[in-house]
Order: sequence, then structure tokens, then C-alpha cells
Amino acid sequence: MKLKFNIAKVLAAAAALALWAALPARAQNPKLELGNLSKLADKADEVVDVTLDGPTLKFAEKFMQSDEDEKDDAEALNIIRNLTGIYVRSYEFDKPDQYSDADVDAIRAQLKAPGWSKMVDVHSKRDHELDEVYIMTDPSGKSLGLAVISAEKQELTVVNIVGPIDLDHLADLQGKLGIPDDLDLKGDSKGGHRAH
Amino acid sequence: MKPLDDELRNALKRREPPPGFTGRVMARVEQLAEERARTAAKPVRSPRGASCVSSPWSPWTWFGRKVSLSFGAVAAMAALVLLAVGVALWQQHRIERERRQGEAARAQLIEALRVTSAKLNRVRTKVRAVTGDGEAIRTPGRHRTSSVPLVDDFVAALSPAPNKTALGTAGEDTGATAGS
Repeated sequence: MKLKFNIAKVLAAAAALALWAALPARAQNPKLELGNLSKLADKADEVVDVTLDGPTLKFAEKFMQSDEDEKDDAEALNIIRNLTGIYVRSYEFDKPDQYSDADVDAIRAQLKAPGWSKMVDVHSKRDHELDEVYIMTDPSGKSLGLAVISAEKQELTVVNIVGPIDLDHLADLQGKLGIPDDLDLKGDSKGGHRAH
Repeated sequence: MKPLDDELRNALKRREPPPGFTGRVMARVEQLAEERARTAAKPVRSPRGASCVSSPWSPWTWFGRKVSLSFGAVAAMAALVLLAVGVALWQQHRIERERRQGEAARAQLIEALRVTSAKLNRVRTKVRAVTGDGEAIRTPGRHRTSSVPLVDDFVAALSPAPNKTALGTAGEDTGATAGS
């Protein structure tokens, strides 16, 4: 009788342990839920809403590969090669206070999940600005996703990239694909902008 | 000369035809008449190759041969032609639709990358503003300049190869400065 009770306890503990071990792996989902931001579209002056999931990304990749006239597409192809999703929600308002802290906190709460690490956190209470960059990595250090939150008085932008993203390649986009070449993404100290 | 006269007289003497001769001749006449009637229905090629039809009422001709088509055969041919045209139009429509979808996906992708790059650059500019001269971060033996451990990696990641070469140069300068 006593032996049976002990075996049951051991089995229950083993099952709980297995479940607990599996939880981080399942929780490591680099895709964010951005549905709560959709209500801001009605108030925004300009909206950029991009949802590129796996099949659409592959379709775009195939299309860009077949279009040999667009040489700049090679840079974009380098970036998206192993990605499984790109999600952008950007809202520009004509006046301030069109979104609440709760809207932003709902996104930041998701970035507290296991796997996400905050790379950059820049707050400015004076200017009411918030800029945060998060990255999700697996135990081996390989990047699984990227999230960027940029909140200003009259603009809110959330970017979520699912898949291994190479920031070096992202920096190489300046001057291509319509991105101004004076953004100083390459960190050329001889030119570009410097904020002091 | 007398035997010759006799031979001629015998040769030209009237003789009665054998029995059935008349019937055979009449039968042969009728047969020939039928063959002539059949031949008259077919077009006869003239020596110059032009086709001509003996009957004025034969609209279905194809290269001099009379072609007889049933309504079902005509309908089937028309259906096949329509099907081929429909398939070709559908293919063209599908290719055009895929091209439009590809262009739309490409435009969306470029816009997404543009926004991402712009925001990352904005963050990078702010980080540099907070940490001062970015060169200080990139010198060898750099110390962490913010409370967020990965910010140095972030700035370094957005400063690819040309500045990593500068890293070596900065190191040499530092060494040279220390030496002098």
C-alpha cells in the first residue's frame, strides 16, 4: 500500500517536472500579438500596417529573386532569407495623446516572457518618448526574433520580426530600397548625424 | 478469185446471236449507266488540278474533297476551341494576378524594412547621445556604458565591418598614444 502511494507521488512529480521543462520551449514564441493596436488606426493620420507571415514572405522572396532588374532586392533578400514573419504597426497622429500607456504596456507585457532580452531602453520623460529594442535568443544564443517599440508624442511604432535577424544586414540597407543614405546606420564617424 | 469471194460471202453471212446474248448486253448497258451516275456525283479533277464539283449543291468541301460533318462533331470542335481559349485566358489571368501579388508583397516588405531600419537608427542615435562619443564604446577593453548589458552589442551590431576595421585602428592609435 505504502509502496503504491510512493510510486504515484514519484510519477506525479516526474510529470510536473517534464511539464515545467517543456514550458520555456513552448513559451519561446517570438511572434507578438498586436491586435490591440488596431483601434488606433481610426485616430491616426498615417498608418503603416504590414503583416508578412511565412507563406507571403516566401512568395515575396521568390518574386524578388525572379526580378533580376531590381539589384537592391538582393539586400532585402539577404535579410529575409530565414525569417518567418515581419509585422509592423506604425501610427502617426496629428495631435498628441492619441494612444495610452496601456496600449504600449500590453505589448511590453508580452516581451517579459521567457526568451526575450531587452537590448536597449531609452526613456525621455521630458519629451515623452520611449524606445526599446528586444531580442529573443535560444539557449545556444541564436536569435529567434526582434521587437522594437518606439513611442513618441504623436507616433507609435511597433516592429516584430520573427526569425534570425542580422542587424548588420539591416544596417546595410541605407541608400537602398528607398531608405535615405544619410541615416548613418553604418556608424561612419566622418559623416552622418550625431546627437549631442 | 472465186475462193476469196466465197470466203467473204461466208464471213459476212447473217447469223443469229447465241442464246442470252441480248440479256447480257442489256445488263452490261445498265451496269455502265449506274457507274456513270456514281462517277457524276464525285468531283472530277481537271488536268490542271483545280477541283470542280459536278453537283452545284455541295457546300462542305475541304481541299476538293467532300466533307460531311454531323452537328455533334461541329459542336464538339467548337467546344474544344472554346476550352483552349478559356484555358489560355485563365493562365494569363493567373500569371497577371501572381505578378500583382508579388509586387504588393515586395512593396510591403520594403516598407517594413524601411520602417525597421529607421527606428533602429533612431534608437542608435539616442543611445549614442546618452553614452557620448560612440568611439569610446568601440575601443578595445571597452567598459559597459549603460545599465542594459546588451546595448554595446546593439551599437556594435549596427556598426558593421568598416567600423570594426576602425576598431583595430583605434586600438593601434591607443597603443601608439600610450607608447609616446
